[in-house]
Amino acid sequence: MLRSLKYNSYLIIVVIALFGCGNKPDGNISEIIRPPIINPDYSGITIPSNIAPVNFIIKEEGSSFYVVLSSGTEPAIRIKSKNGQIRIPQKKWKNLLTTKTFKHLNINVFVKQRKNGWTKFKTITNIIALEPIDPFLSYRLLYPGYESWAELSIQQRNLENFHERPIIENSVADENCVNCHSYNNGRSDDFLFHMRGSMGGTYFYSGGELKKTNLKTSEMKNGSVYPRWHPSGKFVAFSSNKIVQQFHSADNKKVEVSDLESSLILYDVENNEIIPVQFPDKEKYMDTYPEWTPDGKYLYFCRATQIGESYDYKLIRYNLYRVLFNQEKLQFGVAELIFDATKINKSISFPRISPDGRFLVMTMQDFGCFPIWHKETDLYSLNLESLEAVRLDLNSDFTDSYHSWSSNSRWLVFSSKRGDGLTACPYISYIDEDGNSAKPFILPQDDPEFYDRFLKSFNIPEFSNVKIVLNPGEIRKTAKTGAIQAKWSGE
Amino acid sequence: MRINNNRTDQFLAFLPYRLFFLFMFLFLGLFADHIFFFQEKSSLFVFSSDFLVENLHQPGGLLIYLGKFLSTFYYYPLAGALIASLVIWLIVITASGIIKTLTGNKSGYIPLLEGVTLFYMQTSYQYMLYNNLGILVQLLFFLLAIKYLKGWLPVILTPVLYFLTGGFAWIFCIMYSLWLLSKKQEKWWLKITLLWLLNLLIIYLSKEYLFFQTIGTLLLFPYTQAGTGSQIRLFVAVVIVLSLLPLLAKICIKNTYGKKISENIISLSGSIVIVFIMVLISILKYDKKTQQYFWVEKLFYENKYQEVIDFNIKNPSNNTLTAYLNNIALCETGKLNDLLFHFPQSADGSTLFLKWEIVGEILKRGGYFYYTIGMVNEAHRWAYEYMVMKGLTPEGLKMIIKTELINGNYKTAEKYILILKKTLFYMDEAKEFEKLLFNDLAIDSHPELGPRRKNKIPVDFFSITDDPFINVERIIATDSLNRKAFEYKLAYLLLNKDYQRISEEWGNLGRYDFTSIPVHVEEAAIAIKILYTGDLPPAGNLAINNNTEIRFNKFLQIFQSYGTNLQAAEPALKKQAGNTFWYWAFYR
Repeated sequence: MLRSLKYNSYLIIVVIALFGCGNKPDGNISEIIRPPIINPDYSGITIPSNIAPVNFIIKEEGSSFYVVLSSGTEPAIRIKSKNGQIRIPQKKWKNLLTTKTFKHLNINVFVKQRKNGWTKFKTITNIIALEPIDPFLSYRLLYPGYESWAELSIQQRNLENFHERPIIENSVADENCVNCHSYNNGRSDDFLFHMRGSMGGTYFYSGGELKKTNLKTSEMKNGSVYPRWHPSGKFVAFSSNKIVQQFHSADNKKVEVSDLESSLILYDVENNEIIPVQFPDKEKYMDTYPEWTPDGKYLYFCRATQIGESYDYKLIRYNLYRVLFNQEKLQFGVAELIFDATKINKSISFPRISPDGRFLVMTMQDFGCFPIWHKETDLYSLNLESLEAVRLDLNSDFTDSYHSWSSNSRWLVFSSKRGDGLTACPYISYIDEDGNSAKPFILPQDDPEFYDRFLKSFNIPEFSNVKIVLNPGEIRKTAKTGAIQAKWSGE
Repeated sequence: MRINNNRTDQFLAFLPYRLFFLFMFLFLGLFADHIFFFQEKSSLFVFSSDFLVENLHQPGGLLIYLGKFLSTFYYYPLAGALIASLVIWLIVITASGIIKTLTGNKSGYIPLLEGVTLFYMQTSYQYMLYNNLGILVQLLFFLLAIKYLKGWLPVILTPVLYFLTGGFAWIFCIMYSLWLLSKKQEKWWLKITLLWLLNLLIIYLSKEYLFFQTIGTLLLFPYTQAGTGSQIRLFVAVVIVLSLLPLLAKICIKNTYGKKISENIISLSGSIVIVFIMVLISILKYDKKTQQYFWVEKLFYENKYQEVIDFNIKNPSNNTLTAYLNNIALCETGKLNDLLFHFPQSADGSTLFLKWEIVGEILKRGGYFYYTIGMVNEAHRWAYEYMVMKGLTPEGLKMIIKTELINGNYKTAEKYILILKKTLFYMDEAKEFEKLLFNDLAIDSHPELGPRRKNKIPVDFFSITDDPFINVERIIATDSLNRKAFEYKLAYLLLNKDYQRISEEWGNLGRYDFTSIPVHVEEAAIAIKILYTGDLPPAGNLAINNNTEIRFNKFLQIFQSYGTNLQAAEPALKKQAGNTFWYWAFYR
């Protein structure tokens, strides 16, 4: 009996020796003066203190991996890995990031190679920002394809963890296309989205109620497309567009989406009325992509010269305009050119003003109004005081497009195709007081290899502060009902 | 002696089942192997957790997952025949087992009849494996429930069964309810009530909180009309009979003979009937044309263009898709306008190129024409849209990878190669593609991708897929050296008997690297010269072959010998010159 016990003890020691040793750096550790290659690239970035763990995979040759994450006086997180995958425990991560002052997050990576033993790479240093990020991000998941869709959904992701839930799934509504979700100033308990096809309409969710409306009246040539809520929540400015989609036969971009016509309308939510935004000579222009200033006094938009029957799509370029809005009288002033992009042979889309009203970030591409398919698309920041525009540092060699501000004006989320050139993924960048952008980081995922496999694009990423309580089942009920027809209140 | 008798009895008892399996396997394996080719090419099983999760997004998804997994082995048609036969055979055996458990008697009538019907349906290439798997799982679970699972367990497990097999679970629910009803065990009515309430609750929860799908989808999925090869009535009949098995077993299964000798006679006569029915079904359902089409498609996917042409010469077909693939093969081998009229063609050009169609099989194949003429983006678009609509398929994914590699989009290609690498039978091809990543030289020297990259159209324009000929014209207008596009242009003009434009293109022949004038173009040129006294510009160094003029004179002689009566001359002209442009111009 005793002999057996002794034998078993030896066996346990041997097993511990075999499996216990070698997983942790010890003995002579050599140093490499460069930081390790990690994927996604979470090095040199600024992160909010309430972000989910930035799990990553170490792309260095090795048989064992060891990572130490530390910040100030907080206890370090130590992670061992055999395959280089580093998944950070959420609770420890949260404790590590809790901060009342700017501080650094240090990531020390150790890699063991069979011949050379343990190697320590140069420390990766990130900054933990004081300002938190809005806790939710909504986006539409779809294949970055051409014209067809099978499964479409609008998801809401909790940025503080990895929880993602569907708000809308097109499987509930005869596989119809859902698009253009828009929040009432980051309040996700008040938002709208469009649905195309047999259950088509614009769906407004407000105060726990969902209603389906038809915003196309007989007086309108085209339907309502790109929305922006007025800060009061009483109005939504829409562009009304006639859109054409064409496919490139040789260029290394797939689709060209252009407007043949576009104009602006104002929807009065309470009175269910559509008011045309009347400009003198409006038939000479194509106006699109509305955006309100945070005080609701100005409506910004993009304007190009109206194209004729035959046109060169490469010459369609949009400038940035704004117009004064009188909320009491529901009247607009005279359109005023704010930024002339055509002068530099560029075209503007998606103007988005920071909630503090100081900066307007827009996309600029060589031409047209659908930047997601333009590789050259970059984000530019326009200082609304000096009206000077600068190309943001967050840009890449690939498409950097659709963006949304956090409610504290410190974070910008945008769609970038820098990963593989095709799939748009959400990147987040810190924007400082002067409007400068920090190196962006991709939305963290539980599985660090997620983006290597995921084939769908994250379309229209939008921050929000509130968790959406609406579920797709409720949408189905409303989708089956008839749409409330909006009234036309123009001449 | 007694042992021998037992063995004989046993052998005879199982003879109908054995014959049924053997016949089914042989027919499917030898005469209907195209079924497995089609189904294997219709989905792609990826060994990854993502793929599993993707398939679990609705009740019944696991059945589809299992079906896709087994269909992977259809890569080898004999393995396909074995799997499909085995699943049907297991249904028969399980149904027999159920009857024996319920009545104590062996009877194979109903199970074999069901098996024969399933075999009949399986002979349709669109009848998917998950249907039979769904049925088999219900029967197995029912057998398990009545033999081993006691008390409330079968009732409690039903929601799990529903989640795994979707709408097929109703078969079990009906069977189990009927069994409870007939047995009238303790609290039988409560069990039935709870069984259905539980399932209705699951449907409600699925609809409102879990999967958000419509009631119709939740009740039926994965059953679809298309998935049964549009054999709805037959399929529903099989499902009803199997669902009512506990009742039917009681009513029908009464062996009035009750003696061994009688059972043997029954087995023997049953075997004969089985063989007779199976032979009959085999004769009725042997679909040579479809089999030949898929054989052509198989050769085509393997880039065996000459074999495609040879096979079509030996086995002429009027199928538009066969002609479409054959024309691509002709173009790839530089013979499009030499042999075009050796095969049936459509005057509207549908044998040359397919018009854009988002639903159905056109989308799967239409891109290959564009791949051949150098419109790589368009080939990619068709393959990509097909993936969006129908999911991953081996050939679709390969086309996406190839077009991304040709376009130099290596990062995107890498993502798709990673998926292909996680498959069982395409792993090696994925590894070959992987070697080409970020290596322009390797692609330029690749036997398939190199020439495609070279032939890729250099000047951009917007594709017009509703009228593919416009694309051909635009390529010619911008890239005068794309011979394949030029051949397609000539072919289309020949099909349309557009003498005016053929005359205009005649002068352009010299710009392409033809060593001789394509036969049908020569035929058209002679017709233009003689019949329409049209002048043709010089075709570079190329000249009309004297032999063609001799052949045309013969053609005219035959025609004149019938007093220039078109109708009367048709049989003779068809025999002598049915594969010429002249015959096409006269009679099509």
